[in-house]
Amino acid sequence: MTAPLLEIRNLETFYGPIMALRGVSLQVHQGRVVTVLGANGAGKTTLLKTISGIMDPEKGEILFQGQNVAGWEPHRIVRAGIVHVPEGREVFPLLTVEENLALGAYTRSDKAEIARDRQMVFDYFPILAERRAQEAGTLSGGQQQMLAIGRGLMLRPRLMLLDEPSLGLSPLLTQEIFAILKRLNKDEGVTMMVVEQNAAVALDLADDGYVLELGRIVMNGTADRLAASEDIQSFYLGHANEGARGERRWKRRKTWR
Amino acid sequence: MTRHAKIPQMETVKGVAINVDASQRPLLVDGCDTISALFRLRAETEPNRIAHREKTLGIWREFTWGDYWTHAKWIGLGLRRLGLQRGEVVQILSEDRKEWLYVDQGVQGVGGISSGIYTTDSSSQVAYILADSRCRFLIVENEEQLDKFLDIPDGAPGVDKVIILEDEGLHDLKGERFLFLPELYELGKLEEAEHPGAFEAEIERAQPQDVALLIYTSGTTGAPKGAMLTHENILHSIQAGLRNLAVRPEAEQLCFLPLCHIFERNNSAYFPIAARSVVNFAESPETVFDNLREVSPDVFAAVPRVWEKVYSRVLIMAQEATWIGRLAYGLAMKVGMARAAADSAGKPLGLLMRLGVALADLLVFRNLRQLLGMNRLKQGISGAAPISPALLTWFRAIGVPVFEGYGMTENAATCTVNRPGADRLGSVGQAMPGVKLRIADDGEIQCMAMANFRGYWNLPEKTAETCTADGWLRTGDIGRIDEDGFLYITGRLKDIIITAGGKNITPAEIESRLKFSHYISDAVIIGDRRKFLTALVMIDQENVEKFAQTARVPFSDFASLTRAPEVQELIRAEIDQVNREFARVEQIKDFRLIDVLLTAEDEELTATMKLKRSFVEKKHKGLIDDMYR
Repeated sequence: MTAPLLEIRNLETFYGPIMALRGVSLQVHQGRVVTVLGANGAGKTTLLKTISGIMDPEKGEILFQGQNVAGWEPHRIVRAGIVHVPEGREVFPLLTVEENLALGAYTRSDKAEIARDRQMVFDYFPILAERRAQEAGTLSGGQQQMLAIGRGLMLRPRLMLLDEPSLGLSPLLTQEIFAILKRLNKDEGVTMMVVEQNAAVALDLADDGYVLELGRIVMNGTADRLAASEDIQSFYLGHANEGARGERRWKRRKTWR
Repeated sequence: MTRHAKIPQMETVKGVAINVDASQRPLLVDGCDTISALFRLRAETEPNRIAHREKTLGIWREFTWGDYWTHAKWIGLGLRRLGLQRGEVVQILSEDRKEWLYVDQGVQGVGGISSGIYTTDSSSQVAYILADSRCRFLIVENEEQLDKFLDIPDGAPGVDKVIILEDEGLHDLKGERFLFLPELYELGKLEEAEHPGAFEAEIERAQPQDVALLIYTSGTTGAPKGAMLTHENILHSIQAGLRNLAVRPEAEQLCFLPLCHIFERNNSAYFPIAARSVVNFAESPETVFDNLREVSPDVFAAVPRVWEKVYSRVLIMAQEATWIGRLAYGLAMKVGMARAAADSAGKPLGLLMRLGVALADLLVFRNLRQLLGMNRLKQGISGAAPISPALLTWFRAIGVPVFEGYGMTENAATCTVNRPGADRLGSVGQAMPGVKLRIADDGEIQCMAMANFRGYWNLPEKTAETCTADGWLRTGDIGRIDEDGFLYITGRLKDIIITAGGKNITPAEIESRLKFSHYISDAVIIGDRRKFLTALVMIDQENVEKFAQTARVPFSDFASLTRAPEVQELIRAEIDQVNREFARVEQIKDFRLIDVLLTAEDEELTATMKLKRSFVEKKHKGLIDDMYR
């Protein structure tokens, strides 16, 4: 295999005295979708924030296209080609849809190309075209999520970091957004790293996956392998836990094998 | 007591009257010749004294000897009402909790035999033990443990009743065979109302040579065997404990290792009955270190793995401290190590050194001990597996002396122990009072004591194999005794490897040297009828991860950690170092790392987290074959 687009080695990040990432190493290859699964507080968001430069790691390397970008300012990371679609969408509420998209292309100057990309975003998310002059704050949650993704695409990123795109969305809308992400990956070749709590949709979308627990990676492999794992099924996919007596309340201990 | 024609000479140790010579019958503790009688004496003399503490909803709650007695009585009488006969076995499948001990004393009180099953055992292991012990009454803790019983394919037909301690999630459980603990208490109360004094009368019927408990040996080979221990065995254990260990009245203890194991059973069930110490139950295996800090016990007996964990935690804390903290720790450690070295050499410290020690203790070690919950601990005990002398020295340096002891289920864990004033690093100590030791011609350690067990349950041939013609217990361990009576263990008789070259090798000696490495949690030496020796190594996850982080070795899951070339190199270096201490034929030529993180539920591990040779050889045959290809 060729060198990975993104390679993280031994990353450690702290919130003050609290160690959020305890030595994370992972790889994202060009054109792949990698998902990072984990419960609340596992360190998923911290991982993305550390990659995009919002937080500085205490230790470890973030090699992006062979260059160590650990500790860089966020704007330099963006220019290097990594875009972060944050948790909870975070669109600019008082700006219109078009203005939000224009800000996504802030680092670019090729007007014609920008216009073409905007059209592409509108093709993928027709609802945004309809609402192009509307203030982003007045959009529904799902539309805001689409806008946040669209804004990210406007950079023409080499790597897109998506933090819980399903957060607060209805199951139907979640499916819709993940279907679009899949098309973006297949047709446009966008490399993605998706952090999710909704393991079912994430594993369906992803090629590879990592499971993060308390700041450590406890399991990794292809998405198919993870989806077949007993631990993932009972702890992340919510498969029924039944025995001689019917439904069980207790869970066996995780072994991550 | 009138039942003994002649009372031997007694003396008072820590406020308890015991035999001057513990090899002389009858063994008496405060005049009692059975555990049950002693239990009754304690409860009747001081019913309001605190016996146990248990944490519920974040608060430590106290329970008295009166509670202990009343509930044990109800359980005993309730079981009798359900049909329990004297000499029948009651199995307990539960984590440590006060009800475990209530059942223990209740069952023994009415002449039953109490026995514990590890909560990490699988359904089939539970089935085996139930059938083997012909158990009719099973106590289970909760839903999770009950499900193991329900999963037994033939339904464990020998079991009449299953008594469940916690009803959570089980409200719609139906069936004649099941009842909840409060219902058993009700039966006990009924029985008491109809036959007042029945429990006391049953206690008086007990004889010192009656079997009081079965301990299923975690044995690293073969099916588990139930070792029968009598009241007298335990009374000897208690006497040895009072003389040699830190057990004493008012002492605070922490109960956290499985009570089905003789080590914790003695420490948390029987020694406290003699000494009237207070037993605090840890909430769960995961919270032991927090509970330790809350309780700050005077008595703490643990397996080497626990002591290693404490050490690792301190090391990590020190590494993550500020530079002043690191400097202070480093300096204090130097002084502490010098003191530990002088202590074990028996040399007095110079004035300057004494001043340094006082300063280090005041500024660093006192805080450290408080942080660990070991500021009251004067005599820690390590047993059940060999511990690294370097680790013992480290604990001496921080002012927490830990003493290594030696025993086995078959002698009620009463054999040898190091103690203040009679302590030699690397040895497991001198024989406990009333214990005679000898080394047989083949090097096997044999012992003779009142604590020696009655035999294996229903296995007379196995029992005969374990005893010599003149009645000594064959420990199965090989060792030597020095001129001052200190015992040194070198290996297991059964595990002797005969290489293809015909050389006899005791793997345990090499294995325990390997285990002393912080990076190796356990190892199994392979080489029987082979050309050379090899090793399967289980790495210590925490310390190897720490190493990988520091050395910037990327890894994702456990398997990838074991595959990292740097980790392989690290272990190779550790093995090379051990190899230097051994002759050429005893050196390890190749090794493989076990790439799954084993848990207590895995059959390759004993409950004390030791690798089981036979299972490891079977399960990891691929790795072994690979080394001899």
